[in-house]
Amino acid sequence: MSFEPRLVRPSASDAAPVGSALEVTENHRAQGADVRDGDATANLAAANGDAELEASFPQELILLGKQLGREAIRLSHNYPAVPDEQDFQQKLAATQLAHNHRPWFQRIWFRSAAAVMLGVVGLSVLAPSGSQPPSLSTPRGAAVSISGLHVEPPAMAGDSATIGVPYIGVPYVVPFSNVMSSTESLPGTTTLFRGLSGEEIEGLREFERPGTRVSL
Amino acid sequence: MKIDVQKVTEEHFSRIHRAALVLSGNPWDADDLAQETFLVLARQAHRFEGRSSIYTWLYGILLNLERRQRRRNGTRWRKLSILWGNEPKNRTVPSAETPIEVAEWKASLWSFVARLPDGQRQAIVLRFSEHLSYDEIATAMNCPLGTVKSRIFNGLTSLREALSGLEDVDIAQIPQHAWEDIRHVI
Repeated sequence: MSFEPRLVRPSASDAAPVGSALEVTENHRAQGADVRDGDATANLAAANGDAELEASFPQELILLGKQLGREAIRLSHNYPAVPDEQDFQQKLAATQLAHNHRPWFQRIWFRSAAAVMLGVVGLSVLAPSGSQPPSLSTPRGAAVSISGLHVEPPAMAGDSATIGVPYIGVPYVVPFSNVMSSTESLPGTTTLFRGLSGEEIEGLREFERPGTRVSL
Repeated sequence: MKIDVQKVTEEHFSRIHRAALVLSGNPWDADDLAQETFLVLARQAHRFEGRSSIYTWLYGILLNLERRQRRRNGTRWRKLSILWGNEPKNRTVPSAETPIEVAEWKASLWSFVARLPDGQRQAIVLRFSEHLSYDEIATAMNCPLGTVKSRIFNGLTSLREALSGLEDVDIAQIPQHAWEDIRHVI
């Protein structure tokens, strides 16, 4: 078999817009499909507007659309909808029964969850900015640099000992287990830490004073 | 708005089934999709507000279910392909029970449509199989009218290009009746 491309000239019936109501209805009815008058009326009203939309389409695309329509009709005829009536009715009845007799917590679950979510989001949006420092949570392993923070004793690179830090009169213990920089942690210098948990970083944030800065 | 589920099912089952058949490519998946669409209707009937026609709403449900099923099938297929150690060449065609039952669908233009992106594929089904108006398609797919038009145009253009590429395939592999149809539009 040899391939011979051939463009079919549109016939008079092809001149109608793709899927026009009359054509569709008649096609489907001729094939014995279940097409109701209401559908035809609705399609008819829409067909004029659709023809305008498809006016810019090349003719071969319109022909392609028509061919798709014909093949859909043929397919639906060869495989008509034959629902398993009994099975479907049973499922339908079970669905409706389950829907009508949902436990009270299921009935309110979605609305309650949505309300709580909205509340949380709303509060977080409406909360006055600056009332709390922004969270500095970071995965373990991220580096945190602290500048201008007074750390005693000075943390050196390779330190693994726990270092006590004075904090409002209370020695606040931050386990600096992995100091990266070799700079002494004295005011005016920068110390780089790694391997701190989010909680530890939050703890470091507490040490922020004018002149000190904690940053990721 | 109160809906009589039984009445709506009787009225619209066949058209939803037809769309499901064209989308999925085999009668078993079509049966399941159509049935599931109406079960969703039974559960969610109270959410229908009557701003669109009921069948447009049903098509919207069907499209969501079909997209979900297709994604599930795709995931399953990918897992199998990893297990087997080789990637299939034509993975986009939906799963089929046996080759015989879906031979006709595979031989039709709709099997080419199945390889288009979701949006284009579904818009083309609603337009050319279900003959919905552009407004109705926009409602069912929950997207603007212009998007529907571009999806249909781009989809048809891709389809036309795919069919043009048939010059390179072994024509003897294509069933005679299907070839007549395809040649008709080339």
